[in-house]
Amino acid sequence: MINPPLSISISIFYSFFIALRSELYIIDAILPLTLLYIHRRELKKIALHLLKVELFLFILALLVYLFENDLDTSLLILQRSILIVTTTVLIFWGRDSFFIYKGLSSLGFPTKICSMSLFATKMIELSLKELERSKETLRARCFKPKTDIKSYKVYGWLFGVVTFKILQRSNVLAQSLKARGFRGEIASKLEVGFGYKEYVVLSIVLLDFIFFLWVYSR
Amino acid sequence: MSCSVNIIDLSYKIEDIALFENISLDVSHKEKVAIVGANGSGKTTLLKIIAGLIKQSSGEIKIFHESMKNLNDFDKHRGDIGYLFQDSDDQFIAPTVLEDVAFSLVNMGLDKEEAFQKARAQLVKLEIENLEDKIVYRLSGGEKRIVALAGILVLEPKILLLDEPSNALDDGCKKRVQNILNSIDSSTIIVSHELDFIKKVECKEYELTQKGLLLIS
Repeated sequence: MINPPLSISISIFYSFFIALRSELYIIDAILPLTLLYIHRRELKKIALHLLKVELFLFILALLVYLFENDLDTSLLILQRSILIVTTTVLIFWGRDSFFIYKGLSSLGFPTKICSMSLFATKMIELSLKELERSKETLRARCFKPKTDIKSYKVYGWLFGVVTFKILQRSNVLAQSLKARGFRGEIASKLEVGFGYKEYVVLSIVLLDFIFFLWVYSR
Repeated sequence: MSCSVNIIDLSYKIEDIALFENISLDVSHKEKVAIVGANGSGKTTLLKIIAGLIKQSSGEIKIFHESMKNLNDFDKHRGDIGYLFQDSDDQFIAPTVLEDVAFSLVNMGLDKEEAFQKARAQLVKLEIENLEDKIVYRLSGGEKRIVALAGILVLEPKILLLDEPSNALDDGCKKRVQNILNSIDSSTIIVSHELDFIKKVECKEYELTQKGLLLIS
Protein backbone atom coordinates (compact mmCIF):
# COMPACT_ATOMS: atom_id res chain seq x y z
CA MET A 1 0.00 0.00 0.00
CA ILE A 2 1.22 3.50 -0.81
CA ASN A 3 1.70 5.99 2.02
CA PRO A 4 -1.11 8.53 2.70
CA PRO A 5 0.56 11.81 1.56
CA LEU A 6 1.75 10.31 -1.74
CA SER A 7 -1.65 8.67 -2.32
CA ILE A 8 -3.47 11.97 -1.93
CA SER A 9 -0.96 13.90 -4.06
CA ILE A 10 -1.03 11.33 -6.85
CA SER A 11 -4.80 10.96 -6.92
CA ILE A 12 -5.26 14.74 -7.18
CA PHE A 13 -2.51 15.22 -9.77
CA TYR A 14 -3.56 12.24 -11.91
CA SER A 15 -7.24 13.23 -11.86
CA PHE A 16 -6.48 16.76 -13.10
CA PHE A 17 -3.85 15.51 -15.54
CA ILE A 18 -6.34 13.16 -17.21
CA ALA A 19 -9.45 15.32 -16.88
CA LEU A 20 -7.94 18.37 -18.57
CA ARG A 21 -6.73 16.55 -21.70
CA SER A 22 -8.49 15.86 -24.97
CA GLU A 23 -6.21 13.00 -26.06
CA LEU A 24 -5.33 9.88 -24.12
CA TYR A 25 -2.51 7.40 -24.67
CA ILE A 26 -1.83 3.81 -23.65
CA ILE A 27 0.83 5.07 -21.21
CA ASP A 28 -1.97 6.74 -19.17
CA ALA A 29 -3.32 3.30 -18.28
CA ILE A 30 -0.05 2.07 -16.77
CA LEU A 31 -0.77 3.62 -13.35
CA PRO A 32 -4.16 1.92 -12.80
CA LEU A 33 -2.76 -1.34 -14.20
CA THR A 34 0.19 -1.18 -11.77
CA LEU A 35 -2.18 -0.47 -8.88
CA LEU A 36 -4.31 -3.42 -9.98
CA TYR A 37 -1.16 -5.55 -9.86
CA ILE A 38 -0.38 -4.29 -6.34
CA HIS A 39 -3.89 -5.34 -5.23
CA ARG A 40 -3.88 -8.53 -7.30
CA ARG A 41 -4.99 -10.68 -4.31
CA GLU A 42 -8.29 -8.84 -4.09
CA LEU A 43 -8.85 -8.60 -7.83
CA LYS A 44 -12.30 -10.24 -7.78
CA LYS A 45 -13.62 -7.95 -5.04
CA ILE A 46 -12.18 -4.85 -6.73
CA ALA A 47 -13.53 -5.87 -10.15
CA LEU A 48 -17.04 -6.25 -8.73
CA HIS A 49 -16.82 -2.87 -7.01
CA LEU A 50 -15.49 -1.15 -10.13
CA LEU A 51 -18.15 -2.79 -12.27
CA LYS A 52 -20.86 -1.29 -10.08
CA VAL A 53 -19.32 2.19 -10.16
CA GLU A 54 -18.39 2.17 -13.82
CA LEU A 55 -21.74 0.87 -15.02
CA PHE A 56 -23.08 4.32 -14.17
CA LEU A 57 -20.26 5.94 -16.20
CA PHE A 58 -21.09 3.68 -19.13
CA ILE A 59 -24.77 4.71 -18.99
CA LEU A 60 -23.70 8.35 -18.85
CA ALA A 61 -21.49 7.99 -21.93
CA LEU A 62 -24.25 6.12 -23.73
CA LEU A 63 -26.70 8.93 -23.01
CA VAL A 64 -24.21 11.50 -24.35
CA TYR A 65 -23.87 9.43 -27.52
CA LEU A 66 -27.64 9.01 -27.91
CA PHE A 67 -28.54 12.64 -27.33
CA GLU A 68 -25.54 14.38 -28.90
CA ASN A 69 -24.79 11.77 -31.55
CA ASP A 70 -21.09 12.35 -30.92
CA LEU A 71 -19.17 9.09 -30.57
CA ASP A 72 -15.75 10.72 -30.01
CA THR A 73 -16.90 12.88 -27.09
CA SER A 74 -18.81 10.07 -25.42
CA LEU A 75 -15.81 7.72 -25.75
CA LEU A 76 -13.46 10.36 -24.38
CA ILE A 77 -15.76 10.95 -21.39
CA LEU A 78 -15.96 7.21 -20.79
CA GLN A 79 -12.19 6.63 -21.05
CA ARG A 80 -11.29 9.61 -18.89
CA SER A 81 -13.82 8.78 -16.17
CA ILE A 82 -12.85 5.10 -16.11
CA LEU A 83 -9.15 5.99 -15.75
CA ILE A 84 -9.78 8.52 -12.96
CA VAL A 85 -12.32 6.43 -11.04
CA THR A 86 -10.30 3.21 -11.32
CA THR A 87 -7.09 4.92 -10.18
CA THR A 88 -8.80 6.68 -7.25
CA VAL A 89 -10.60 3.52 -6.11
CA LEU A 90 -7.36 1.52 -6.30
CA ILE A 91 -5.30 4.15 -4.45
CA PHE A 92 -7.79 4.26 -1.56
CA TRP A 93 -8.71 0.56 -1.63
CA GLY A 94 -8.71 -1.13 1.80
CA ARG A 95 -7.76 2.04 3.69
CA ASP A 96 -9.44 3.06 6.92
CA SER A 97 -11.64 6.13 6.88
CA PHE A 98 -8.99 8.28 8.59
CA PHE A 99 -6.58 7.86 5.66
CA ILE A 100 -7.36 11.28 4.16
CA TYR A 101 -6.84 13.01 7.52
CA LYS A 102 -3.49 11.23 7.92
CA GLY A 103 -2.50 12.23 4.38
CA LEU A 104 -3.44 15.88 4.83
CA SER A 105 -1.76 15.98 8.22
CA SER A 106 1.54 14.59 6.93
CA LEU A 107 1.43 16.84 3.84
CA GLY A 108 1.62 19.74 6.29
CA PHE A 109 -1.84 21.20 5.68
CA PRO A 110 -2.92 23.75 8.33
CA THR A 111 -4.28 22.22 11.56
CA LYS A 112 -7.72 23.72 10.93
CA ILE A 113 -8.10 21.87 7.61
CA CYS A 114 -6.73 18.63 9.12
CA SER A 115 -9.04 18.77 12.13
CA MET A 116 -11.99 19.59 9.84
CA SER A 117 -11.26 16.48 7.78
CA LEU A 118 -10.87 14.46 10.99
CA PHE A 119 -14.18 15.62 12.44
CA ALA A 120 -15.94 15.09 9.10
CA THR A 121 -14.56 11.53 9.02
CA LYS A 122 -15.64 10.94 12.60
CA MET A 123 -19.14 12.12 11.74
CA ILE A 124 -19.28 9.89 8.63
CA GLU A 125 -18.04 6.91 10.68
CA LEU A 126 -20.68 7.51 13.40
CA SER A 127 -23.47 8.22 10.88
CA LEU A 128 -22.75 4.97 9.04
CA LYS A 129 -22.94 3.15 12.36
CA GLU A 130 -26.21 4.95 13.13
CA LEU A 131 -27.61 4.00 9.71
CA GLU A 132 -26.59 0.37 10.25
CA ARG A 133 -28.28 0.43 13.68
CA SER A 134 -31.46 1.91 12.18
CA LYS A 135 -31.47 -0.75 9.46
CA GLU A 136 -31.19 -3.46 12.13
CA THR A 137 -34.05 -1.85 14.07
CA LEU A 138 -36.24 -1.86 10.96
CA ARG A 139 -35.40 -5.51 10.32
CA ALA A 140 -36.05 -6.46 13.94
CA ARG A 141 -39.38 -4.64 13.87
CA CYS A 142 -40.61 -6.59 10.84
CA PHE A 143 -40.27 -3.80 8.27
CA LYS A 144 -40.44 -5.08 4.71
CA PRO A 145 -39.31 -2.53 2.12
CA LYS A 146 -41.77 -2.01 -0.70
CA THR A 147 -42.37 0.71 -3.26
CA ASP A 148 -45.45 2.12 -1.54
CA ILE A 149 -46.07 5.37 0.35
CA LYS A 150 -45.72 3.66 3.76
CA SER A 151 -42.20 2.47 2.97
CA TYR A 152 -41.19 5.90 1.71
CA LYS A 153 -42.61 7.42 4.89
CA VAL A 154 -40.42 5.06 6.94
CA TYR A 155 -37.37 6.05 4.84
CA GLY A 156 -38.27 9.68 5.56
CA TRP A 157 -38.38 9.00 9.31
CA LEU A 158 -35.11 7.14 9.08
CA PHE A 159 -33.49 10.08 7.30
CA GLY A 160 -34.91 12.46 9.93
CA VAL A 161 -33.69 10.32 12.83
CA VAL A 162 -30.19 9.94 11.41
CA THR A 163 -29.97 13.70 10.67
CA PHE A 164 -31.16 14.52 14.20
CA LYS A 165 -28.67 12.13 15.75
CA ILE A 166 -25.84 13.62 13.67
CA LEU A 167 -26.78 17.10 14.87
CA GLN A 168 -26.85 15.82 18.44
CA ARG A 169 -23.46 14.17 17.93
CA SER A 170 -21.92 17.37 16.59
CA ASN A 171 -23.18 19.23 19.64
CA VAL A 172 -21.59 16.62 21.91
CA LEU A 173 -18.38 16.77 19.86
CA ALA A 174 -18.15 20.46 20.68
CA GLN A 175 -18.57 19.63 24.38
CA SER A 176 -15.99 16.86 24.15
CA LEU A 177 -13.46 19.22 22.55
CA LYS A 178 -14.06 21.66 25.37
CA ALA A 179 -13.85 19.00 28.10
CA ARG A 180 -10.60 17.65 26.68
CA GLY A 181 -8.96 21.04 26.37
CA PHE A 182 -8.78 21.27 22.56
CA ARG A 183 -6.55 24.15 21.43
CA GLY A 184 -6.17 23.23 17.80
CA GLU A 185 -3.60 20.45 18.21
CA ILE A 186 -4.09 16.85 17.12
CA ALA A 187 -0.93 14.78 17.31
CA SER A 188 -0.62 12.17 14.60
CA LYS A 189 1.57 9.12 15.14
CA LEU A 190 1.99 8.46 11.43
CA GLU A 191 5.47 7.67 10.21
CA VAL A 192 5.61 8.10 6.44
CA GLY A 193 7.58 5.29 4.86
CA PHE A 194 8.90 5.44 1.28
CA GLY A 195 9.32 1.92 -0.09
CA TYR A 196 9.63 0.39 -3.56
CA LYS A 197 5.87 0.69 -4.23
CA GLU A 198 6.04 4.46 -3.66
CA TYR A 199 9.04 4.76 -6.00
CA VAL A 200 7.33 2.67 -8.72
CA VAL A 201 4.08 4.63 -8.59
CA LEU A 202 5.85 8.00 -8.50
CA SER A 203 8.09 7.02 -11.45
CA ILE A 204 5.06 5.95 -13.52
CA VAL A 205 3.28 9.25 -12.93
CA LEU A 206 6.41 11.25 -13.77
CA LEU A 207 7.04 9.16 -16.90
CA ASP A 208 3.46 9.73 -18.03
CA PHE A 209 3.84 13.47 -17.46
CA ILE A 210 7.19 13.66 -19.32
CA PHE A 211 5.67 11.71 -22.23
CA PHE A 212 2.77 14.16 -22.35
CA LEU A 213 5.17 17.14 -22.38
CA TRP A 214 7.17 15.51 -25.19
CA VAL A 215 4.05 14.88 -27.31
CA TYR A 216 2.74 18.38 -26.59
CA SER A 217 6.04 20.06 -27.57
CA ARG A 218 6.32 18.24 -30.91
CA MET B 1 -10.59 19.59 55.01
CA SER B 2 -10.02 21.61 51.83
CA CYS B 3 -12.64 21.22 49.13
CA SER B 4 -12.12 20.56 45.44
CA VAL B 5 -15.71 21.17 44.39
CA ASN B 6 -18.45 23.16 46.12
CA ILE B 7 -21.95 23.09 44.72
CA ILE B 8 -24.18 25.72 46.28
CA ASP B 9 -27.96 25.86 45.73
CA LEU B 10 -27.70 24.67 42.18
CA SER B 11 -30.83 24.50 40.02
CA TYR B 12 -31.41 23.61 36.40
CA LYS B 13 -34.56 24.28 34.46
CA ILE B 14 -35.66 23.27 30.99
CA GLU B 15 -38.29 25.70 29.69
CA ASP B 16 -39.35 26.70 33.24
CA ILE B 17 -39.64 23.09 34.42
CA ALA B 18 -37.09 22.29 37.11
CA LEU B 19 -34.95 19.21 36.47
CA PHE B 20 -33.47 19.62 39.96
CA GLU B 21 -33.52 22.43 42.50
CA ASN B 22 -31.28 23.79 45.28
CA ILE B 23 -28.63 21.12 45.19
CA SER B 24 -25.65 21.56 47.50
CA LEU B 25 -22.65 19.30 47.78
CA ASP B 26 -19.03 19.61 48.93
CA VAL B 27 -16.43 17.25 47.58
CA SER B 28 -13.24 17.28 49.61
CA HIS B 29 -9.72 16.74 48.38
CA LYS B 30 -9.33 13.10 47.20
CA GLU B 31 -12.89 12.28 48.29
CA LYS B 32 -15.08 9.98 46.17
CA VAL B 33 -18.77 10.69 45.79
CA ALA B 34 -21.37 8.71 43.89
CA ILE B 35 -24.67 10.12 42.72
CA VAL B 36 -27.37 7.67 41.80
CA GLY B 37 -30.80 8.42 40.45
CA ALA B 38 -33.49 7.32 38.08
CA ASN B 39 -33.22 7.80 34.33
CA GLY B 40 -33.95 11.42 33.43
CA SER B 41 -33.32 12.70 36.95
CA GLY B 42 -30.59 15.03 35.64
CA LYS B 43 -27.42 13.19 36.67
CA THR B 44 -25.61 13.83 33.39
CA THR B 45 -26.78 17.45 33.33
CA LEU B 46 -25.47 17.97 36.87
CA LEU B 47 -22.11 16.47 35.92
CA LYS B 48 -21.89 18.63 32.78
CA ILE B 49 -22.59 21.73 34.87
CA ILE B 50 -19.78 20.78 37.28
CA ALA B 51 -17.47 20.24 34.29
CA GLY B 52 -18.35 23.67 32.91
CA LEU B 53 -19.88 22.32 29.71
CA ILE B 54 -23.35 23.77 30.28
CA LYS B 55 -24.60 26.63 32.41
CA GLN B 56 -26.83 26.17 35.43
CA SER B 57 -30.11 28.13 35.77
CA SER B 58 -29.13 29.37 39.21
CA GLY B 59 -26.70 28.62 42.02
CA GLU B 60 -22.96 28.57 42.26
CA ILE B 61 -20.09 26.20 41.49
CA LYS B 62 -16.69 26.61 43.14
CA ILE B 63 -13.63 24.79 41.87
CA PHE B 64 -10.74 24.89 44.36
CA HIS B 65 -12.63 27.63 46.29
CA GLU B 66 -12.84 29.82 43.19
CA SER B 67 -16.32 30.74 42.01
CA MET B 68 -17.04 29.88 38.37
CA LYS B 69 -19.17 32.81 37.23
CA ASN B 70 -19.32 31.80 33.57
CA LEU B 71 -18.25 28.88 31.39
CA ASN B 72 -14.98 30.56 30.36
CA ASP B 73 -13.84 30.55 34.01
CA PHE B 74 -13.50 26.77 33.78
CA ASP B 75 -10.86 27.04 31.03
CA LYS B 76 -7.95 27.58 33.39
CA HIS B 77 -8.93 24.42 35.32
CA ARG B 78 -9.45 22.31 32.17
CA GLY B 79 -6.34 20.23 32.83
CA ASP B 80 -7.46 19.60 36.42
CA ILE B 81 -10.91 18.31 35.48
CA GLY B 82 -11.27 14.94 33.77
CA TYR B 83 -14.71 14.24 32.31
CA LEU B 84 -15.76 10.78 31.17
CA PHE B 85 -18.67 10.93 28.72
CA GLN B 86 -21.60 8.54 29.04
CA ASP B 87 -21.03 7.29 25.49
CA SER B 88 -17.34 6.69 24.82
CA ASP B 89 -17.82 7.43 21.09
CA ASP B 90 -18.69 11.01 22.06
CA GLN B 91 -15.40 11.41 23.87
CA PHE B 92 -13.06 10.11 21.19
CA ILE B 93 -11.48 12.71 18.95
CA ALA B 94 -8.32 11.30 17.41
CA PRO B 95 -8.48 8.18 15.22
CA THR B 96 -6.23 5.66 16.98
CA VAL B 97 -6.06 4.68 20.65
CA LEU B 98 -2.60 6.12 21.26
CA GLU B 99 -3.37 9.38 19.45
CA ASP B 100 -6.61 9.79 21.39
CA VAL B 101 -5.01 9.15 24.77
CA ALA B 102 -2.28 11.68 23.88
CA PHE B 103 -4.84 14.23 22.62
CA SER B 104 -5.31 16.27 25.81
CA LEU B 105 -1.60 16.18 26.65
CA VAL B 106 -0.67 17.72 23.30
CA ASN B 107 -3.34 20.38 23.76
CA MET B 108 -1.97 21.17 27.20
CA GLY B 109 1.26 22.07 25.44
CA LEU B 110 3.29 18.89 25.88
CA ASP B 111 5.77 17.95 23.15
CA LYS B 112 4.36 15.33 20.73
CA GLU B 113 6.93 12.63 21.53
CA GLU B 114 6.65 13.19 25.26
CA ALA B 115 2.85 13.03 25.00
CA PHE B 116 3.02 9.71 23.14
CA GLN B 117 5.45 8.35 25.72
CA LYS B 118 3.14 9.31 28.59
CA ALA B 119 0.11 7.94 26.72
CA ARG B 120 1.93 4.65 26.12
CA ALA B 121 2.78 4.42 29.83
CA GLN B 122 -0.90 4.96 30.67
CA LEU B 123 -1.93 2.19 28.27
CA VAL B 124 0.57 -0.16 29.96
CA LYS B 125 -0.76 0.84 33.38
CA LEU B 126 -4.31 -0.09 32.34
CA GLU B 127 -3.04 -3.22 30.51
CA ILE B 128 -4.36 -2.17 27.11
CA GLU B 129 -1.06 -1.57 25.30
CA ASN B 130 -2.13 -4.15 22.69
CA LEU B 131 -4.80 -1.67 21.47
CA GLU B 132 -2.31 1.13 20.75
CA ASP B 133 -2.78 1.25 16.95
CA LYS B 134 -6.46 0.27 16.81
CA ILE B 135 -9.13 2.65 15.47
CA VAL B 136 -11.11 3.80 18.52
CA TYR B 137 -14.56 3.46 16.97
CA ARG B 138 -14.00 -0.21 16.16
CA LEU B 139 -13.19 -1.39 19.67
CA SER B 140 -15.59 -3.44 21.80
CA GLY B 141 -17.76 -1.61 24.37
CA GLY B 142 -15.50 -2.62 27.28
CA GLU B 143 -12.30 -1.66 25.45
CA LYS B 144 -13.79 1.71 24.52
CA ARG B 145 -14.60 2.43 28.17
CA ILE B 146 -11.07 1.64 29.36
CA VAL B 147 -9.51 3.66 26.50
CA ALA B 148 -11.80 6.60 27.32
CA LEU B 149 -10.71 6.35 30.96
CA ALA B 150 -7.06 6.22 29.87
CA GLY B 151 -7.56 9.45 27.89
CA ILE B 152 -8.64 11.16 31.11
CA LEU B 153 -6.34 9.55 33.64
CA VAL B 154 -3.26 10.36 31.54
CA LEU B 155 -3.76 14.02 32.51
CA GLU B 156 -3.66 13.10 36.21
CA PRO B 157 -6.66 15.35 36.89
CA LYS B 158 -7.34 16.55 40.41
CA ILE B 159 -11.09 16.24 39.85
CA LEU B 160 -12.60 13.30 38.06
CA LEU B 161 -16.18 13.38 36.77
CA LEU B 162 -17.45 10.04 35.54
CA ASP B 163 -20.75 9.68 33.76
CA GLU B 164 -22.03 6.10 33.98
CA PRO B 165 -18.59 4.45 33.96
CA SER B 166 -20.19 1.00 34.01
CA ASN B 167 -22.38 1.72 30.99
CA ALA B 168 -22.82 -1.36 28.77
CA LEU B 169 -20.02 -3.32 30.44
CA ASP B 170 -19.98 -7.01 31.26
CA ASP B 171 -19.07 -8.21 34.77
CA GLY B 172 -15.37 -8.65 33.95
CA CYS B 173 -15.04 -5.15 32.54
CA LYS B 174 -17.04 -3.67 35.43
CA LYS B 175 -14.64 -5.24 37.91
CA ARG B 176 -11.70 -3.81 35.98
CA VAL B 177 -13.22 -0.33 36.01
CA GLN B 178 -14.00 -0.67 39.75
CA ASN B 179 -10.38 -1.60 40.46
CA ILE B 180 -9.16 1.38 38.43
CA LEU B 181 -11.54 3.72 40.28
CA ASN B 182 -10.49 2.38 43.67
CA SER B 183 -6.84 2.97 42.82
CA ILE B 184 -7.37 6.60 41.77
CA ASP B 185 -6.29 9.36 44.12
CA SER B 186 -8.32 12.29 42.72
CA SER B 187 -11.54 13.85 44.00
CA THR B 188 -14.14 11.89 42.11
CA ILE B 189 -17.82 12.32 41.32
CA ILE B 190 -19.43 9.27 39.75
CA VAL B 191 -22.98 9.33 38.44
CA SER B 192 -24.66 6.05 37.76
CA HIS B 193 -28.00 4.30 37.89
CA GLU B 194 -26.34 1.03 38.93
CA LEU B 195 -26.30 0.78 42.71
CA ASP B 196 -24.49 -2.58 42.64
CA PHE B 197 -21.59 -1.05 40.76
CA ILE B 198 -21.38 1.94 43.09
CA LYS B 199 -21.43 -0.28 46.21
CA LYS B 200 -18.12 -1.83 45.14
CA VAL B 201 -16.39 1.54 44.77
CA GLU B 202 -15.32 3.06 48.07
CA CYS B 203 -17.36 6.26 48.09
CA LYS B 204 -20.11 8.32 49.70
CA GLU B 205 -23.48 7.73 48.04
CA TYR B 206 -26.16 10.29 47.26
CA GLU B 207 -29.45 10.04 45.45
CA LEU B 208 -30.45 12.80 43.08
CA THR B 209 -34.12 13.73 43.33
CA GLN B 210 -36.00 16.75 42.08
CA LYS B 211 -35.79 18.25 45.57
CA GLY B 212 -32.08 17.78 46.06
CA LEU B 213 -29.36 15.33 46.97
CA LEU B 214 -30.15 12.79 49.68
CA LEU B 215 -27.30 11.03 51.46
CA ILE B 216 -27.77 7.26 51.25
CA SER B 217 -24.57 6.05 52.91
